[in-house]
Amino acid sequence: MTAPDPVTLAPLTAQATAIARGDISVTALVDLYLARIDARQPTLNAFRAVDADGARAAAALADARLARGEGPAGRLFGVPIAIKDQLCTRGLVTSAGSRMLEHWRPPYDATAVARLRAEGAIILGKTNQDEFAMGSTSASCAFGPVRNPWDTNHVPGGSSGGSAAAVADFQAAAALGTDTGGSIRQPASFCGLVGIKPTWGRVSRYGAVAYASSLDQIGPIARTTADAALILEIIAGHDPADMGSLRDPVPAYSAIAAAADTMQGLRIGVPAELMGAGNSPDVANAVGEALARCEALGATLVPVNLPHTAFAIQTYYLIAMAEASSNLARYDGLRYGHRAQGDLELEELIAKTRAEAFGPEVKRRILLGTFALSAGYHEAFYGRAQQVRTLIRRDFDAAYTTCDIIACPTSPVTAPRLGEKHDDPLAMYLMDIDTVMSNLAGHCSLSLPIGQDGEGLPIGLQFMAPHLGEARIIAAAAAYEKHHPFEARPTDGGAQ
Amino acid sequence: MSAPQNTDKAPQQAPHIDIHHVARLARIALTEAEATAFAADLDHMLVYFASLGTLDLDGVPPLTEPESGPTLFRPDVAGPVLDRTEALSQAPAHDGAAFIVPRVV
Repeated sequence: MTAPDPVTLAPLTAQATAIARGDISVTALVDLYLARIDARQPTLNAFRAVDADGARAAAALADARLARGEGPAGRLFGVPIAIKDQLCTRGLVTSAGSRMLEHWRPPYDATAVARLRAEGAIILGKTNQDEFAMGSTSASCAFGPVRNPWDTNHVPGGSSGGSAAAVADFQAAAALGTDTGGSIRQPASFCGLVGIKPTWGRVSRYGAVAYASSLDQIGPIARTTADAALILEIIAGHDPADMGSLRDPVPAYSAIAAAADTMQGLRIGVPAELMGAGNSPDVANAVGEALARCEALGATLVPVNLPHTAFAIQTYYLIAMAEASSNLARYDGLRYGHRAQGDLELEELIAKTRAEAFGPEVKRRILLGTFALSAGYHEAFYGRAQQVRTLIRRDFDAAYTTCDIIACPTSPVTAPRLGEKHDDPLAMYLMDIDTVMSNLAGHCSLSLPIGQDGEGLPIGLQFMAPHLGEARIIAAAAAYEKHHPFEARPTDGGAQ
Repeated sequence: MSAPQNTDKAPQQAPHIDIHHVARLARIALTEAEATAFAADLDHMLVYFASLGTLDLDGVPPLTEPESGPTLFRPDVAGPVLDRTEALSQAPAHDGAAFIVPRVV
């Protein structure tokens, strides 16, 4: 068994510094990660595809540049990163966790991936996930479930579970995920990591396999707030290829994280609706202690209300499933991806292709989304959900008149056991209560690790902020982390 | 088979889903076992989702996307496009110029 090398235990920013100083070559660092991936893949199944040849070739070019005395090029020069399978990587298989795209190799990089490469990052490979980002466990992956490095009997969360497992297990310095209803924040929480869902439009969605276009965002999963802030700073910013891409300038998130040391003057809204009996005792206690620490750092806790919280899950799932039914209509076996065999008429071919290649959770969501958009029901379900979405946004607007950020658990529970709740999809959906509202409002949010439950499983605290409020939540998280760093690490095969 | 009609604005009760109709709309061929299982799942979920019908939404506009600014245009100038060979390279069937599919019309 290959235990993680000490250099790979350091934050991403420290690894970049080590490379720039010549403490370790890029090739040596990449080889350490590839060996770790190779050793741990049978246990965790974090990766869908590892591009060892591509990573080593990129490392060789980077080392050659350093040997010529040209110095590092880019803020992530030589740093190995993992990419969620939902994101296009030119020439490298991109399956979105589905048999539908099992052998598909995109002809282009997602903009977020291209920006990482432009800053010198080395792409190690693609991480496993719930199929088409639909799930909260990474168990509904067509290529096998992903397991949690803290306890392999438990899930890492989803849908970006492979990315979270890889980073928590020191198989990558950081990773990209996507978040439609919590799919970056919740696995970050379950794996003891920092995850950021940016404001909708902050990061280009070009090259992200679409799930629900008004909810999807790409963001970082990393070991520290500073690491996540740097990645966000790099991938954020206007992209003409994404019509929803915001033109607002990108703040220096990494400098904001570096400078943050206090919460003096910060008003933290605490929503009663998300702090109640639905939280497990361990989560409730940990969040209570974390909020007390925030007060000790100078923050003021302000009671707020989000009155339409009780309708958030219905609203989210109706909108997400409706948009997914439209986005996934493109998978018809005609131009790329899986095609059913046989002498079939057009409609038969399409129906059989989709039957063969979509898993049950994807089928379920497409069917319900199709129903919600169908004649006679469109206004009653999808239409009403869009109206309730307005009410949820208004709830936040009202809350933010009395506070700067809002804090709550990232999840009401810690990571479930693999197979738990598998037979009750609605019970699984209800686990997303803490995260979906930020997506519905189009706002930004972040999860940071604050403790562990009685079994050693990590617990996450979520900070939410309004439109383009990333600087607030990054500053708050960085300040908290400076005084209360989360230093626990999973030991191979179980909790520490 | 035509879609069941429900012209009410608010779903006062959860409708029973016609799974075969919905599957045809969604272009997914279901086995009978799948149809039975999915119909039960969706009926169960629709009971929960129908609770949106308890809210008074008169005068509340829909939020169709988080940010709606003006439509941004680019100059009407031809730019780089996906190379045909590359576009066809992963097609299930092609003749070098186009995708080969069953008769459409």
